[in-house]
Amino acid sequence: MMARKIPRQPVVILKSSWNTLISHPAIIFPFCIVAFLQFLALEVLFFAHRYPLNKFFAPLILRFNSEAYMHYPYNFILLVKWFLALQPVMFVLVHSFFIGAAVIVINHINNDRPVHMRSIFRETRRHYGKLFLSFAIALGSLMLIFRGLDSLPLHNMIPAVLMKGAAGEIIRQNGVALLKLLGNIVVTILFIYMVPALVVSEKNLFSALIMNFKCLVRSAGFVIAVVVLTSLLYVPVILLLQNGEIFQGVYPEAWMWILIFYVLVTLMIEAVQYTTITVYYLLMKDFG
Amino acid sequence: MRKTLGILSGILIGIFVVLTLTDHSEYKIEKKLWQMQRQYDAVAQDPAVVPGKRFDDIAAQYQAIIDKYPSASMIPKVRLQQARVYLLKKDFQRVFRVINGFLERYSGDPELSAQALLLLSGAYEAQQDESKTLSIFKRIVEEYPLTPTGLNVPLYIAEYYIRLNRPEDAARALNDAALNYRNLLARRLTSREQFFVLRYLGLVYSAKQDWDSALNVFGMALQVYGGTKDYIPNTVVLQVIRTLNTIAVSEFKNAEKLAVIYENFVSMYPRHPLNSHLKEVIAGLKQLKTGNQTGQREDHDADAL
Repeated sequence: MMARKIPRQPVVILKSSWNTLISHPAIIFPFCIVAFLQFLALEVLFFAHRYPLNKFFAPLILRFNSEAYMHYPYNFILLVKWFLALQPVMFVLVHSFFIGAAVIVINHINNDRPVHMRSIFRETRRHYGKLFLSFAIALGSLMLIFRGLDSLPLHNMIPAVLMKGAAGEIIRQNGVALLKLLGNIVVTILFIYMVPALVVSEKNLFSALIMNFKCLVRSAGFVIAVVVLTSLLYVPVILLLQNGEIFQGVYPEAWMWILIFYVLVTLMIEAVQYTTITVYYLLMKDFG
Repeated sequence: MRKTLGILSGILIGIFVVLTLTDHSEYKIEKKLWQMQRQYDAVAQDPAVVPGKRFDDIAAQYQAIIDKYPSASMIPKVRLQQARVYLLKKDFQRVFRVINGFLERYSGDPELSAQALLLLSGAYEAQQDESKTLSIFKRIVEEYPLTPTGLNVPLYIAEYYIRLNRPEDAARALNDAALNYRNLLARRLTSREQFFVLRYLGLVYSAKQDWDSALNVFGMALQVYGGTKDYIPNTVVLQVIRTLNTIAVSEFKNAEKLAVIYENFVSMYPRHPLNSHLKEVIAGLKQLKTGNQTGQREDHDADAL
């Protein structure tokens, strides 16, 4: 799996990571469990307004939204709203654990150690507290960036000719969403080495943070290229989520497919990013 | 690993099947009705050019739903929608037959009865039978005055005259509507009923372009009853707020008075979920007031020069 010399080209490393993922399905396994949990949540929310789940969810829907969202087709608007609201929780509670597990799998493969998922998960459990906190820090930073973006006077920043009427509003909304993607990319870059530092080098949270930034300084160009290239796959997902309302009047079920697409793309991006970065981290470790 | 993935997929499929089978809600009917509403909207755009068979097809689809789910709670609405299709087709005999059957079947439900009567008035209106149209309006106002449809009809009469291009009759209808709502307010009403009657009275004043009275009435509805969330849904309160914003800022140009109304509301209902929104509006209104004053001062200076 390893080359003798650290290749600098991000595309080469990305390609090698992709091959690694394909030839070692064990790395994908933790992401499959995340996909299962995401789809389970989606399924529960899809049925939330119907019997028997409405016994629990109906009071919540009526309290936080309105009666209309208990019925077709507005239930799909609520589905999107609640599912996206659930994502930060999933990110900190679930993604943190299974991304950690995937990184441990890569480390085992790199060291020619056997991969037994049960022992991998046991090992991940030992690091879960640190993983949880590091993901919470990343999420907190992302929220701060989003808050900053929301407070920006975007109306003054985008030329007036682009902001007129309904078209202007669509441009503004998509512009804000893409700016938020940029914020997401920045946070991913800033904390990308945290997981390998925590579970491969077994550092404590503070040392891992320092190591993360040291590695980042050493390989900033490479990390930026990898994260930006892979995150470009988010663009169609974001545009679909932002403009999904066009389906609302024609085929409301489209929201469900958009969310399934969102889950799959997110997991694919995370799998490729963390495999690439872990491989690179291990190379840097090997080559001092 | 493959076995685990197989089990996880099985769990997802299993849950989907179980939840689909145990679902006793009217989701399927809602979905079907939504699809049919789209067909209805398409033919309603220009019924004159739609072939008669198309209306019959849509009405037959509504009938199929009625036959398949006779006890579903949405069936009364389906029956009314079927009558609307016949009305679009100008098949008045069928409209009368469906509505008469409907009135017998749902005589115990005031709102449904009022809706059916309003539809019937539409049939008479399409036949240009003014006396029968007006008598139906009168019947709704007298028999079902506090139902949502009954509350709307006094204003609807004014709209009816506007459609007939008779502005004097429309103005008289607005006066009658205001009197009707004031008479209702004199009765013993629940908070919810008072709120809705005031809201309609506010709409009458808006239609008469009596912005001061409209602002007072909407403001009263909001301040006195708007915060009793057990009775008034927040979405409705929000509609009143939007109406107030439009009246105060665009028409009446009295942002200061509106800010006072909102401040009263916030202090009366300190835990109301719309307060954060209202505080933003209040800030905006105060800014507007400062801007207006600056503008007026500049105009004054320019005049002086």
